[in-house]
Amino acid sequence: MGMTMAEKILARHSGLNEVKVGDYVTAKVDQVCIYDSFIEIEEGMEEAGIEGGIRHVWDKDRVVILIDHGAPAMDKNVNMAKKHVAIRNLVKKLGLPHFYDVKAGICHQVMVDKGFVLPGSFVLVPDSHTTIYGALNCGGTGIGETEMAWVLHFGELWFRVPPTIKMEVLGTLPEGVTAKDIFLYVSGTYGTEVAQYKSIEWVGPVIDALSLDGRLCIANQSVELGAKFSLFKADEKTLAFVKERAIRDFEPVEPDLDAIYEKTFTIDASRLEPYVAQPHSLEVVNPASHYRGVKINQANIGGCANGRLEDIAWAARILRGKKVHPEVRCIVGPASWDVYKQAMQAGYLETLIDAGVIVCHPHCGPCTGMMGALAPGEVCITATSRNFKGRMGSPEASIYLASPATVAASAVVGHIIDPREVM
Amino acid sequence: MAEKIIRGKVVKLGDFVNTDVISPARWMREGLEVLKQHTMEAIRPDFYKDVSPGDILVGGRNFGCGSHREPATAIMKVLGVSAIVADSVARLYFRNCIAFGIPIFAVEGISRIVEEGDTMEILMGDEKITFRNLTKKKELSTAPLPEIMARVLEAGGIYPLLKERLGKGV
Repeated sequence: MGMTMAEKILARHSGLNEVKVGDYVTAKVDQVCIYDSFIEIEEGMEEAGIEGGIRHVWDKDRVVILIDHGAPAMDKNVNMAKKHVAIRNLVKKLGLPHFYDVKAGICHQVMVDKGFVLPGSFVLVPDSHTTIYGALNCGGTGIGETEMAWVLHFGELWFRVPPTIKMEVLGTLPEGVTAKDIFLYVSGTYGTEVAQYKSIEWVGPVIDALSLDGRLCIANQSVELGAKFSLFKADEKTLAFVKERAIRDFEPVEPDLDAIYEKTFTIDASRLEPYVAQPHSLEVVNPASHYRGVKINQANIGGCANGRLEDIAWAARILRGKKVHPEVRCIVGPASWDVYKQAMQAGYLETLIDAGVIVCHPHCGPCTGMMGALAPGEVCITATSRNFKGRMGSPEASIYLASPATVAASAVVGHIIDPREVM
Repeated sequence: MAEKIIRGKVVKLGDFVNTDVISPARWMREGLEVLKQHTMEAIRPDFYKDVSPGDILVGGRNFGCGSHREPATAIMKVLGVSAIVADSVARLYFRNCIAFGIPIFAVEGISRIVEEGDTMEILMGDEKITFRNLTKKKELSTAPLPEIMARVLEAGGIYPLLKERLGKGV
């Protein structure tokens, strides 16, 4: 019987020739990454009476540690700073070789930049957006810190083999419509549970034509659709990118022709528009023009969802020769220092700075409210991952989610606008 | 697994209770006792005052969606919630609850047969799990938990299981 990409990845890592939907398997893990919460694993184990906390790691080469959520330490009551000291000590105690401290950027982008994410491999991170690695044909999914304690010791964890749904994107994307808009369309049309406990496979000419940055955005955001995995085939673009940075050998997976899909969704990209998800749900999505005139106080672009070069290029393209509206704070946060440098070399950062954008250092802040917290009554339009109530500060603030193009265009005029009006 | 019964008063929430709501970022790092006072405040201020130890939390669709943040799971233990039952549960929240030893169940339609204040009984049998609203005399049932999850739950979560395994020198 044919297998989907998710089934092949789980079979391969469980030492099985075949798995089927609903099977429970114990899968060996190729790579993990843990951020600021690393120390919570040590604390959790000690509290549970496991003397000495983490004493053994199954394979040190397969563990990446960094600090990205509060980086560098941002609190004057120094709780965070103390936590970071404890993380550094723990890394030393265990002798972990891949430690980036506060210096590399957001975990998922660093993992991609540094070649830890490989086609056909299986990667776990205690973070929901780990589905992002599917863009590179890698089975990435989130777990909690507690389960990561188990993985650190044994290098494996149990998984249920999920059903797979196919998202076929046909036609061509109109000008000004981006990967983020494909996600918003799916979320608004099919709901945030369309892929609950499922794996998604993205196919079709539009997916083939998308840049890796675009695919990474969609795979990242797929957790917002409930997905366990969000997988793309490895094509020439994937292989060219991965080959020059891969830390070890890899073998991509392809779905069998007779693989079984629970359902196939067909999307005509030619009819898509720039979309906006309104507060506080990713299910209430309308064309940007529907919200035209909604005044904004802040406009964010960044995080692991939209802090890549293509996203920053969109912001630069829209803002070139223009100014951010005087009553708007526009924050752009590249996802990693590698991306930051590329954006600098391409001249994008200068364009943004001239336009009055606050270009911040790579960290999770633009998405989590650590960088640019919202006061009660304030309105933000953001190209990050979520528009949940209270996510960026006050629960009385409103967060609209959109593409970098829509966010940048709105930053110029001071209210929500379809980016094609200012392009 | 031997039959297990959980009985408690229902505290009911709606659809899409996400982890930003359960564990607001601005209170998440201040310790669980502080977080307790702010959990759900964006949708139901002073929620903690409505919850007594042993209560069963009932949710609607996609309970626990969003970030993987574990304080959103840990806080349920601090509140003394004995089980969580929702029409559907986000994957990561489900995994985290099992890892913490908190019984959690996705039961389509549960939000339609129970209301706040009802008394509910969960019978975890070998063949099926039954959810009984003792106040309104209505019930639903689902398949039993898979063996691996049942084992983690029975041990009280991943850490006790890990402690046991490490104690055996594995």
